[in-house]
Formats: sequence, structure tokens, C-alpha cells
Amino acid sequence: MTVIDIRGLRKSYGGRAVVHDVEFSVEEGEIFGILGPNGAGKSTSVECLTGLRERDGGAVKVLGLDPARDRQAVRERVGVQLQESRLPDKITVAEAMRLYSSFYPNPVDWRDLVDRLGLGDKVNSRFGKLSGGQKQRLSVALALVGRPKVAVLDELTTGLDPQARRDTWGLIESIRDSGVTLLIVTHFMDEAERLCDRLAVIDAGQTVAIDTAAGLVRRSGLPHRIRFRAVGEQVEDLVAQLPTVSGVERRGEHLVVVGGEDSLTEIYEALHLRGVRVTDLRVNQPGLDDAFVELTGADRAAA
Amino acid sequence: MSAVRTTVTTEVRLFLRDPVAAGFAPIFPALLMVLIGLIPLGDEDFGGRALIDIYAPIAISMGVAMTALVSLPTFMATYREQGVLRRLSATPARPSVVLAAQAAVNCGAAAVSIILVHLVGGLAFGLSAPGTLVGYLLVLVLGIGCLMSLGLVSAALCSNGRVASGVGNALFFPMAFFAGTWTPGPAMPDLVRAISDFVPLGALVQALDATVVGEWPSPLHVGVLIGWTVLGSVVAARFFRWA
Repeated sequence: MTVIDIRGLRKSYGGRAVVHDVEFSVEEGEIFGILGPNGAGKSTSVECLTGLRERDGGAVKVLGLDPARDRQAVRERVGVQLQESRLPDKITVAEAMRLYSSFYPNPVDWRDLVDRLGLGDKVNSRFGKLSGGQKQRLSVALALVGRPKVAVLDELTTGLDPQARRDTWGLIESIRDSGVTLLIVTHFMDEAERLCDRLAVIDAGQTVAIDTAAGLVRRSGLPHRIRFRAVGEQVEDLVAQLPTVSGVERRGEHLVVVGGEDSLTEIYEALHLRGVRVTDLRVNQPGLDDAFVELTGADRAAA
Repeated sequence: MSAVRTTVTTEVRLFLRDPVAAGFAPIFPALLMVLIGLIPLGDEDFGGRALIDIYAPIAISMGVAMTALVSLPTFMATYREQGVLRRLSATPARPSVVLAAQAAVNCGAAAVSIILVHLVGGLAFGLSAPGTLVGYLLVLVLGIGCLMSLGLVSAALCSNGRVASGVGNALFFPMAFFAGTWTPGPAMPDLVRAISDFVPLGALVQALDATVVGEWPSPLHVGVLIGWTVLGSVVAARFFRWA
């Protein structure tokens, strides 16, 4: 079942189009990522789908509802964790949970929720006294307290230390396992790669690709770089003739090969048949960050 | 529990945790009464009235002004600055419920400060009861409404809590001067008195003073209070932003 469906989304601020063609759809039970450089229109897209902003054009359906028309119904069913929004410093965890529980028709038991999020011993602590990770977990708890079908988490791990980020990832997976569809906005590649079933890459206000992390890497067509030592006659020519290999260079006893994702297998099999030993092997595969730069042209912007 | 009740309860608790808003502003007018009550009176003439009776409307107006011009805008500007209101607008609750709760809490604090003035003044220093209670209460309602609407202007225009607090204090002290804090009405020079008629706090003090001696407030002062209320509400509504 499709839970979120966005087509041709448009939104301008003061005549400047921030979003002009964003589209993606999210299936039930997915962890779906929105990846994009700063200012690409990620947060604006998310705000349009949660009814926080009125879109200028395009079609948006969340659980079959239009956030612009059925605003109240969408807010009851979609939990949101927003970028740059805090709670009053002097509110306690328990007070915040009780307050937000009172907004929803059928809230979960907030005590269970804060226990699950590891805040059980912090219920009487004030928001201002919590650590960064604890604040983020509280904001996740607030996003989930209304028993949402969909949770939207915007830049959830920005500003967290590496351990807290890893803990948060585990948390997100356990939320998905409890039956909530998750939409995550991020600019961390490792996070997107590790967590998301599928990703939409948004750049300059439009969707440029939708795929799994591995699919995006493949689609980017970036070469793999393989470096190894192989002693033998005509090894260089042999490797150069392989179908997926696009370049070979000899550096002393080492060969540096540029090729596709199947090159490694081809090289290994071809040399093995000739009885050539391959040692000191190093493979440099393109990662999601390389693919991302390729897809968004972030290198062009930097140059 | 209903959303409105929980919101009000939460706002009351947060208010009570603020040392200035909850600890100082509500008792400040009563403290002024104590200071005035302890002044040894010489042979000065206050038109046949006790100094404490002349000073009570001034103290009360200052208490209301401090709550309305400092506490209310500081809370609201901080909420907006920190995204508290924006986060609320992503829930089925309306942020206006929080604003209404904040206004109610501040009106409650103003009411407490007024009651304290009458308790302390009446029990310890022989403060007289207002001559016309109905008129007195009506003027208080007008005055609280007027100052709260001016506080909302500051809440609407100030980008954050620190600015709102600074602006509140910058408004408060000159107004307190025209209200007669340092030179009560009868002792004011004519020019200051004439300006004072048109300053919200000055009009409030004089309107209250009229009801204390059993008269109805002058139409000028009632008009000035209503005028500032309308102006304040319009400007606040025009410029207010949730986020």
C-alpha cells in the first residue's frame, strides 16, 4: 500500500521557486530517505506533506488524505519531528509527554514509550537539562505518542555525537518494526545507506533519482578502482581486453585498473585461468557519497 | 485530560518556574505598598487623603504593566524563537490554545498582584476600599486588556525573548514615570500631567484613582485606554507570526 504519494510538488517563497518538481512515493512499512544538499528543498517538501505549509502546485496524498484540505486528519495520523524546534527549557519530560498525549484522540501510553526510548529515568528532568541525544529521543517520543501511521523525522541526527547517532539508528529500526512507516530527511550518507530501504535524491528543488542506496551507486556509473600485484607475461594486455575494464596502468609490480562493478570478478577469473597469482589487492568502490555528488552536481557547485 | 486543560496546567507550571514572572512581578506592587506604608509622614498635604490610598493605584498599575509588558512578551517571543509554536502547529492542537493559556496565566498573575496589594495595604496600612467597586473593577479589566494588548505588540515584533524582555523594560520605566511612580499625580508638573493623560499607564492610574474616591473615571482616560487597546490589538494581529 502506498502511504505517501507526491507528484509535481511546487512551492515558491517570494517568487523564488524552492521546490519545483519533487515527486516520490513511500510504501507501507518502508524507511524512506530524502537526501539532498542544503537548500535543495527537502524540508519544504516535508512541510508541504505534513500540512505545515501550503503548496503552490502538485498533488500530495498522505494515507489517502490531502494535507492542504484534510489538515486536521493528517496531523492526527502523521507524527513529526521538526528541524530547529525545541520545547520550553523548563518543561519536564513527563509534562511534555502528557501535554502532547492530550492533543491526540488515541495516544499510546507515554510511560512505555519513554521507557522504550531510554528516557525512563529522565521523566522528571527538564528539557533544558537533557543531553543532545536525549532531546532528540524526546522529540521522537513526541512524534510517536499520537500512535501515528507515518512518522516524519527531519535531520534527526544532526548535531549528535557518533555513538548517539548509532543509537538513534537502532531506535528508528525498532520503530519501523512496530509498524510505523518512516520518512527520514538527512544529509548524512552513512545514515541513508545504513537505514533507508529506498532514497529520493532531491537537488535544486526537484527529484533527481529514486532508488536503493546500492541502486543509486550503480546508476551513477562511477568506476571502481582496483589495484593489485600480478607478476606474469602479458598480464596487462589480458586485463585490458576484459569487457568491463576501461583502463589499465602499470605501476611497478602493481596494476591499477579502472572498470565497472563486475571487473573484479572478471580479472580474478581471467588471471586464475592463466595461473597468475593476484596479491596485495585493494578495491576502491564508489560509495553513496560519490554517487550523491555525481547525481546532484555538488562538485560543480563547489568548483 | 482535555487538551485545553492540560495546556493551561502546563503553562501555569512553566510560569511558576520563572523567577521574574512568577516570583517578582506579582509581589512587586505589594512591596511598593510596604515601602510607602513605612514612610514616616511629615506635615505634607495630600488633599486630605492618605498617601497609601493615592499610591495603591500606581502600585497596581505597575504590577499589571510588568506582567503585561515584560513577562508575556518574553514568554511568547521565546516560544516563537525556539520553534515551540511551530512544533505545536504540527499536532492536532492549535498554537492559539497556547497563546490563550499564556494570556490567561498572565492575567491571573496580574489579578494575584492586585489582590496582594489590597491584602497588604488593607491589613497593615489602612488602605481604603474603592469608593465604587464596580467602576474600580471595570477600570482594572480595561487596564489589564490595554496593557496585555500592548504586550502582544512587543511579542509580535520582537524576534526573541531577550529583545522582548529589553523592549518590555524600556517601555515599562518611562511609563512608570508618567504613571506617577516617583511623583504621584497631585505633585506632577502640569506638562507631565498633560502627557500622562494620554500614556496608557497614566490614564489607568488616574481612572483607578477616580473610582477609589467614588467617582466615575473621566471619559478621556477611558477613551485613552480603549484607544491603546484597539491600536495594540490591530498592530499585534497584523504583525504576529507563529514561526
